[in-house]
Amino acid sequence: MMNCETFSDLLQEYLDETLEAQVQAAAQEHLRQCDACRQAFRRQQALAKSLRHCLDRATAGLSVRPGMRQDVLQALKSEPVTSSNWWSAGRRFIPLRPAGAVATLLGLLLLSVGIQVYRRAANDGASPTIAQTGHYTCVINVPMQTQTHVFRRQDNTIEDAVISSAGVGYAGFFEDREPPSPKTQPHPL
Amino acid sequence: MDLQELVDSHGNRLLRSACLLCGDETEAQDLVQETFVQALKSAHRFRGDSAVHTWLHGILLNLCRRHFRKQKRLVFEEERVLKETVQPVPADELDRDFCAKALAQAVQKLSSEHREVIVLRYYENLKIEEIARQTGVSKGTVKSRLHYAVRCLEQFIPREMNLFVSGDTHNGEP
Repeated sequence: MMNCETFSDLLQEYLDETLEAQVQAAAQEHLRQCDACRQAFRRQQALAKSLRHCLDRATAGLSVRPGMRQDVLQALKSEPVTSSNWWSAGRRFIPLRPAGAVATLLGLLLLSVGIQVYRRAANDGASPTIAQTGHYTCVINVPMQTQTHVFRRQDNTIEDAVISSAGVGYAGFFEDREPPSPKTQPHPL
Repeated sequence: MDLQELVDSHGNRLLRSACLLCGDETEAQDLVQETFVQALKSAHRFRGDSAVHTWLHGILLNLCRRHFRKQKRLVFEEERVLKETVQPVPADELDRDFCAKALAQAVQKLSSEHREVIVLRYYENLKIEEIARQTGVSKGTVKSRLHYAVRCLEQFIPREMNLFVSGDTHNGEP
């Protein structure tokens, strides 16, 4: 047997008819027997009806501005690639599972160290060049996924837009170092 | 679905909902435009688990929330609520349009969280569990917000409008 407190708690779901069949039947039985809850139920129904009617009426005159479709297409066309877009593109490229993410980072780290070692080894044989220029540069290209907006054009008007995320771009990181300056020995005197 | 078809089928309803949520038609138009932009960009992620309108409204709701966060930095919300006062209603002006307008104004006086549940429940006609899913809170929180929001509206709406009286003419069955 349902009490008033439980009925009050379940009133909204009872109105939605989303309760389990058994609970819905118990609520209906309680409603039949309890005057106070019946009144609360009717009040809620009337309130919902009034609010729906008023909100519909208050906004009835509104309609989307003409040319909304063109504005949407224009906005899509001119939207710059923001940092969040790059972030989401990066997230799609990098596996989301922790193990995959760790493996990817470890791979990048090893790649970076490998390039450094290779550079140093190469520089050992070409030290005169570094000595002459005074700099060496390390470039790492990291593949990044990009988004492409494709617009269907017909009779010189843009018909529709299709989004593709298949493009691949590269972001470069540069490291530019000064060679260590020769230490000046203090005069023994 | 073609973009024009999408705008024709859902544009006006989204605009009205946006207007109730943000209280300004120009801002609402911009929010609806951005909703369609976002929808086209993420169309490949829509798997048809919900109705198209529910999906679009979810995007709109997120954009409205972002809009409110930006607005909050400019005007503290409580401050704005306090500035607005309910105008006394002359008895001879109590027609339906006036009541509707007064209610729409009263909805604007609610906090964004309470306004959301009122619009979703009584304009979008969503069930409690659908609102919980869209707003990312529990059903209990939705019911609590709804209860509080209605109590606030009762305070904002003059009694003469009879918006909150019980409908004794109903038969009592859903």
